[in-house]
Amino acid sequence: MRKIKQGILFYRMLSKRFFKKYSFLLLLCAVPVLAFCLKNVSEQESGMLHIVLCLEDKSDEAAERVAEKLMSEESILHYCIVEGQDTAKKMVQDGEADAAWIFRSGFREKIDALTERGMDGEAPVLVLEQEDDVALQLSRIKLFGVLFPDLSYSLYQNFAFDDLALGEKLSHEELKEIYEKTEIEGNLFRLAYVERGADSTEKQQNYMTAPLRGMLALLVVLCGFAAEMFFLRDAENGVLDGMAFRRREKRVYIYLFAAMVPMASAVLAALYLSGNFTNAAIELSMMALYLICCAVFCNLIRKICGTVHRLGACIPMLMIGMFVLCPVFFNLKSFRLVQYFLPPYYYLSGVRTDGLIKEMLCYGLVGMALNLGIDKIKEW
Amino acid sequence: MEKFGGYFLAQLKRIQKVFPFIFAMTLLLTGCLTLLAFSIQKADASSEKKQKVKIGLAGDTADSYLGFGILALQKLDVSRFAIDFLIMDKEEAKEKLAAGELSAYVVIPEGFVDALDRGEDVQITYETANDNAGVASVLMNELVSVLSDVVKESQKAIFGTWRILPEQDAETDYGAATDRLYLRFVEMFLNRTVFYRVILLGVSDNLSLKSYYFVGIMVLFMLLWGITCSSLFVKRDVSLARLLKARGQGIAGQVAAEYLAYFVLMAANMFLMILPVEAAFYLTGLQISEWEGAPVRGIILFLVKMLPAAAVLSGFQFFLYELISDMISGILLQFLAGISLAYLSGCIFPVSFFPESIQRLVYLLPSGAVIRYGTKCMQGSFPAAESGIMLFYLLVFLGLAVTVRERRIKE
Repeated sequence: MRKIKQGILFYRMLSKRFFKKYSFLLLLCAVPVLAFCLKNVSEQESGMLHIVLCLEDKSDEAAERVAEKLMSEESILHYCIVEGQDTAKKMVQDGEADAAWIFRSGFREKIDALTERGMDGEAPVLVLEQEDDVALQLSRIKLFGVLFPDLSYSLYQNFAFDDLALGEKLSHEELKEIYEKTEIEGNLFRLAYVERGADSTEKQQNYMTAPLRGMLALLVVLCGFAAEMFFLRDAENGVLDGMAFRRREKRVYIYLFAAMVPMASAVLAALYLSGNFTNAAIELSMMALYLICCAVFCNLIRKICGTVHRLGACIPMLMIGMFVLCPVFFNLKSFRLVQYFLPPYYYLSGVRTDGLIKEMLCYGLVGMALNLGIDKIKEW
Repeated sequence: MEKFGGYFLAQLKRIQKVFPFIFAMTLLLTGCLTLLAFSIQKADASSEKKQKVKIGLAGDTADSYLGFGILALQKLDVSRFAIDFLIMDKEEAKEKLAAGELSAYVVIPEGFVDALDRGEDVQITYETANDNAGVASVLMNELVSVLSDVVKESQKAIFGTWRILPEQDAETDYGAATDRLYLRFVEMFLNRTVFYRVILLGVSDNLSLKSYYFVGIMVLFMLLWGITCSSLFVKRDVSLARLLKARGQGIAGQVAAEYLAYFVLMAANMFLMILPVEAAFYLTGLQISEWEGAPVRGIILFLVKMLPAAAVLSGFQFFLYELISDMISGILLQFLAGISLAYLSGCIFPVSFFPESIQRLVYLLPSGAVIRYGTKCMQGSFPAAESGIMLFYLLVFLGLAVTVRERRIKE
């Protein structure tokens, strides 16, 4: 009981030391604020591919309707309308746009001609690109999709008048009325995400805020490293001289948690404000386990490096290593063996799949055992 | 001047003590960055390798009509150049999706074609991972709804035709007429390229994706590298600075000497990276088209040109260290500033991915200026205007560092 009280007292003293510097408090506040800003920014118009739309004949109603439909849709393709084919071409050439879709004059007539003559004729749309690639090829399926209502109606109309020879019995207006009154319900495809059960149909994460959890998780582990450096500095300055080696090695966890817990709270607040928070039970339990994993990991690295300068020099390498190998921006499927050594890998994969709690507990236990093992060797 | 030289040498000696370890870490860091470049190239389907999106087809694929459709997609449709459709069972598909070998898989329900024929509302499930794995995969998720709309619109035309068929003679064969219309739609879908003509303009004076990411990763490296010197540059007290000032070493001189030593370390590190980068290029097969034929000369010239960029980022990091007086905040600030600037300025995603407000902001950020400067250097020309901007930023950061230290000494 006395030891626990002493530990709590030491934790409070350390917290006071950290919070005495306004810079630490400001940085903690900056984390949720930055996340909130990013969320707001991500809601603005943006896209992974930038496509310029250009109407050769501005009075062409059909082409205008297609362009308006594209502009009004929520999409990862970002569209803008420009005037003049030359402007569109220049934007593509200068790399300001990934592609230009030019709706040619006589757009509707060209579509009708193609469906009438068995797909033989002039294309109603010109696509300008610097180089063709898979993403641009796929974007053209989107273009076809947005043209399709016009194509489908044109085919239906030609079939009715040419193949079925209903020209004398039905007018264009009647034919159109029948087509438009035909209601089709339901969707042929159902989009589902594999994470958190195969039935999850939650909305796809915004690509701009998706890496946020990973970056925030790295901040927690970085805080752990910083706490280790703080500990090493204190040891160098003789602050811990009165303590036996074993006791000192136990106290380092208080340094770690005193620095990481406030950061973890800031991270949770940031996740909540950015809309990346799943549910309280999962988030809190995963964060608690993550803190334990980070603590044993940082402690091990500190023991390997030995001095404050070496640890400082090591940090960027470790941060970038985690940045690459843990699912922050990319879910790299290779280098699994290395990934198993990194705490953010468990946290980021675990939050997504709900299934790494046992692994995180094992990591914590094995890490503690390793730390104890190194301490024993040092004591000898 | 003598005092300045002496102080500068003293700073160099301080740095020299940790340099071997820092250099060893830089080598490892370079390896990690090469891996990052490699993974970006692999993950980004718009890379020059033109990686296809792989989609698994699972469930009831045995129906002959469906079999024909799948065969058409695999062999005849233009999408075969962008998408690989692979037939497999659901468990295998699930495993491959988890292992990253598939972008998604489609599950076709039992008796799908018959149910569709009876007019029942049946659904194909498109299952994917929500892990942001490349532009093409994310785009595919959006295209699923496009395909759904295409099918709906075709059904609208076919059901509409059923409604007008009674207008014809009673002897008309409804089935044969519908089949003809179905075939027209299939023909139209397979020949969809006739509705757009693609004109390739070719890459003009822009950077290739690889070159752009090389610049981006280089800047990311320089932005994060500041943490390395946290143990040297975080100053808890300014008593030494005060003493030096009292002995005639002005604050501007102190800042300049310390900054110069820091910059020398950054520059040395940059040049020492040439060999590992070359080795990494050789091992991974990556090539920078701008350096074709003379890669070593290319990288040396590029790094020489990048020195002003390194000077600006060193100045920025040095200024951040002046602001902070404790280790934890120093490291956190370096990382937070470095990673935020790298993310927003286009080191990870091109700036064009972001909304216009961010693009405008990036234009003003030092990291944005550095990326623009770097891309110009990569293109081979000497960016005179951008060099002026680099000098401006450097002077601003050093000026701010002097002001902050002055205030701290007076406190």
